Formats: sequence, C-alpha cells, structure tokens
Amino acid sequence: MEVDKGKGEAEETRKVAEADRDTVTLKSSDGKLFEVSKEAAARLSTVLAGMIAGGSIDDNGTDLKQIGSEALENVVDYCNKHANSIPSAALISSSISFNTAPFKEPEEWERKFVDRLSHDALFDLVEAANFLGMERLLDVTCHKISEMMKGKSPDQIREVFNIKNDYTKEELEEIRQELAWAFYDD
Amino acid sequence: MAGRSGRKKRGGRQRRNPASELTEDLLVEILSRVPYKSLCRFRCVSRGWSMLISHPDHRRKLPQSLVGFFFASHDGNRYPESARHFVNVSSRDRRPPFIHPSLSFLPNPDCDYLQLLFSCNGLVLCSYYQPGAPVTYIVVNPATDKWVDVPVSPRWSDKPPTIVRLGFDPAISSHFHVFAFDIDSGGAADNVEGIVLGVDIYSSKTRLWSYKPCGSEIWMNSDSISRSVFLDGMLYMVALDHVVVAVDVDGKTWRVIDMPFRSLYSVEIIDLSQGRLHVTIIDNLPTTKLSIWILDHASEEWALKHASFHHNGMYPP
Repeated sequence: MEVDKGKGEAEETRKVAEADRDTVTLKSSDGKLFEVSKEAAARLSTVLAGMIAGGSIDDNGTDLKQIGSEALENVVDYCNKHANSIPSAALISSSISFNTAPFKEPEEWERKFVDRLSHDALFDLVEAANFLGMERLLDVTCHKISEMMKGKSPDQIREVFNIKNDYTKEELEEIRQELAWAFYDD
Repeated sequence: MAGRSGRKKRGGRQRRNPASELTEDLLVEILSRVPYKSLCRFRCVSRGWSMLISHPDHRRKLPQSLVGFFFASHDGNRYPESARHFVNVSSRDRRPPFIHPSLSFLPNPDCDYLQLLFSCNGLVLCSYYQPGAPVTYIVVNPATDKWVDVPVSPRWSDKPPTIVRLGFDPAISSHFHVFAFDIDSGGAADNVEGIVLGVDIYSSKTRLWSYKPCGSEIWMNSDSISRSVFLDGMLYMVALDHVVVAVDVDGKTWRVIDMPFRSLYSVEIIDLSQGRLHVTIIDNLPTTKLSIWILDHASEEWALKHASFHHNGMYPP
C-alpha cells in the first residue's frame, strides 16, 4: 500500500490526470490490475459509476478487495465485449416485428460469454456482478445458473451447492409425497 | 457459512466452492428464474431452502405457489345444473380438494344465488343474486371459512354498479378494498360502452365507501369481464381503446397505460406473475399471434416476454 507523501499539489495533478483518462484501473483482491473503459464501467456498474462520479477512483488501481483476479478479469472482459457489441435488432426469432422495449433474455454473445465459464468462475462472477451493482451481468449470470438448475434432482442440487440434507427420512418422504407431481419430467 | 473459512485450499484437499457461499439474496435472485416445478422440487433440498422458498419476503419474487382454483360448470342434463368445483394443482394424487367447493359455511351457498366473481391473493369476491332483491357482495376467505358482508353503498340505490373488483395484498395490509366503477353509457339500454365517471371504493378498515371522480378520459364496457390485478396498492384493469387503467385505493391517482401495440382485432388479458403486471395479447388478424408482455412500472414500458405465431390460426388468412 502506497503512502501519499506530499499531498496538495501532487494530489491535484493526479486528480486532473485521472479525470482526463478514459479508462479506470481496478485492483483485484490478489493485487492484479485491470483496465476498463471508464464509459463502459460507469454505464454497466452502479457502484463504479458512483465511485467515478465521487472521484474515489485510484489511479494506481482501485481496490476491489471482495473480487478475485479471475472474476475481475471476467467482469472487465464483459464490459469490453458489451462496449463492442452492436445491440441486436432482431430480439426475437420470429417474423413478427414488435418494435418495442428490449428483451430481457441474454443475447447470443452474452450466452457464449457465460457458457465458456467454469462452474466456480460462474458463481464468482455472480458475486462480483452483485457487488459491483451490474444489473445486466447479474441477470445474465443468474439466468445461466437457473438454466443449469432446471430439471435437476434435489440430490444434484445439494451436490452443486454443497448443502447437507437436514431432513429426517420421514419428513423427506412426506414432502416428496406432497410434491410428487413436481418429480415428473419438466 | 461460518467455520468453513478456516480450511483454505492450501492445506486440505477440500475444494473451495463459491456456489456454497452465495448470499440468500443472490440465491433468491437465481431461484426466481427457475421454473415453478423445479422450484417446488428444490424444497426437498434442505430445511433452509424450503424456508427460503416459502418465506413471505420472497413470495413476490419467486414463482407463486398456487394451491388450486375454482371453476364453475353448467349442464342442463344434470341436477343441479350449476355446480362449483375446486381443483388442486399442487398434488397429482387423488386427495380431496383442499377447499371444499360447496362453501357450506356461507349462509346461502347455493350456486343459483352465489357467484364467485374474482379472487385476489387468496380472498374471493362473491355476489348474491336473489330474486326481487338488489345484488349484494361478500368477500370470502375459502381457506379459513371466514367471510364478511360488503355493505351496500348509498350511491347504489339509483344505479347499482356493474363493474366491481377486489383489491387485497396481505404483504401490505390485512384489509381489503372493493372497487365499484361508475360508468355512464348514455342512457341507452343496449349501449354498454361508457365513460368512467368515477369509482366508489370500500375499505374494510374504515368500513366506509368513498366516491372519487375519474381523473382521465377512460372508456369501459359496463359489462366488462376484464380481470383485475392488484399491485402496490393500485387496481389495474383493461379498458377500451387498448389501454390498462390503474387506480389507487384512495381513488386519487389514476394511470392510463397504452398496450404495447394496438391492433383492431386484438384481445388483451392482464394478470400478475412474480410481482409484475403481465398482459397477454391475442391478435387475430391476419393470423393469430400470441404475445406476453411485462410492464416496467417505473417507465411504464412493456418488455416482450414470449411470442408465438400461428400461420393457420383461428382465422385463416
């Protein structure tokens, strides 16, 4: 951690320089630095937007202690891809031309983006998106996880989330009977 | 999750599992996107998950658990001709209905007199038709066998209402409101189209009716069978000219929201799902198109959720 020696003038020039830059530097919990477009960061993350507006962005890397380097790399990657993606005009795959509000479903590139993530990376990214107030990324990652969960048995879910079954045998039998219909195919 | 932080991957063979470290909020966020059937099944995962899924705080976000529904049937070759039924949806076994459709706890539950009109979050608005007497209304909680009379409004003596709806949200208040719309269809007996003059609102808390004029130009059919949706203290209904109208429980705030698109032969049906207002639009010409839209309440804009397209629909081109 650096200590500011001469505040005042140095601080001033640093702030001016920072305001001129069009990227921000983010620092992961394990000390790795990542650069991301200021515009994309402010647009996609309410937390980063607040920090940029409030001048609490550190030129030497804004500390994001809650986010590991792998997750932060994915966040930055997402921001860059988002900045480059052309909003798709055909939001639904049919011949009807409803010319209205955006569809909430992930777009093709977003789908690909989360599909290539490992299981752990996906969950880390959900946490990071949540922490940074990235509504769209949260949407996309939660959607992916819900798709993975769909159709799974309670046993499979326990394995994924590392949950201990704390029901007694009798209790579980009772609930299973009550919910028997939910155990048929989705 | 306390106690787990001690074992990092360095020493033991225990792998780090970010999935097990999710906060409740994030888990609810994910579960809200899971289909209803899977969600029900996940109640078997653990006590914690079951509590999370059925917790009142999350009910609005998660797919709703519907216990069952009422329906009526009429058959001239049967006695009685009219009958009420209740079907369980949450159980496939042959258990008797959770709610006995006879509603025998009511003073006069005969199907010829008592009609179930609309339900709202577990309460049911019913009307009593008795020969020679004006229509009266009651609100019933079929799960608890309780019911209350809705007193007749002083305004009804010269003009009984035709559009009466119920607003109830247990998450906001244990009291309900009954909305009776005042429609002026110009005097002609066969004319059902009319302008909304105002709304008479009954509060079960004050036990009083209060009348408020309508703040916008809204047209409705006086025999409208549009469902109503009660959300965040406002009652939503479909009105004429492809709009949704909303009025709050004080009758002071009125909103008129255009449907996502207008088409001469479209039919619109509103409903509530996961705490958001949805509209289903059936557009019959030139071919049948079905689309479902969600309202963003802040911006009053609709987002398309589903659409289907039938080349040979009900009306062939």
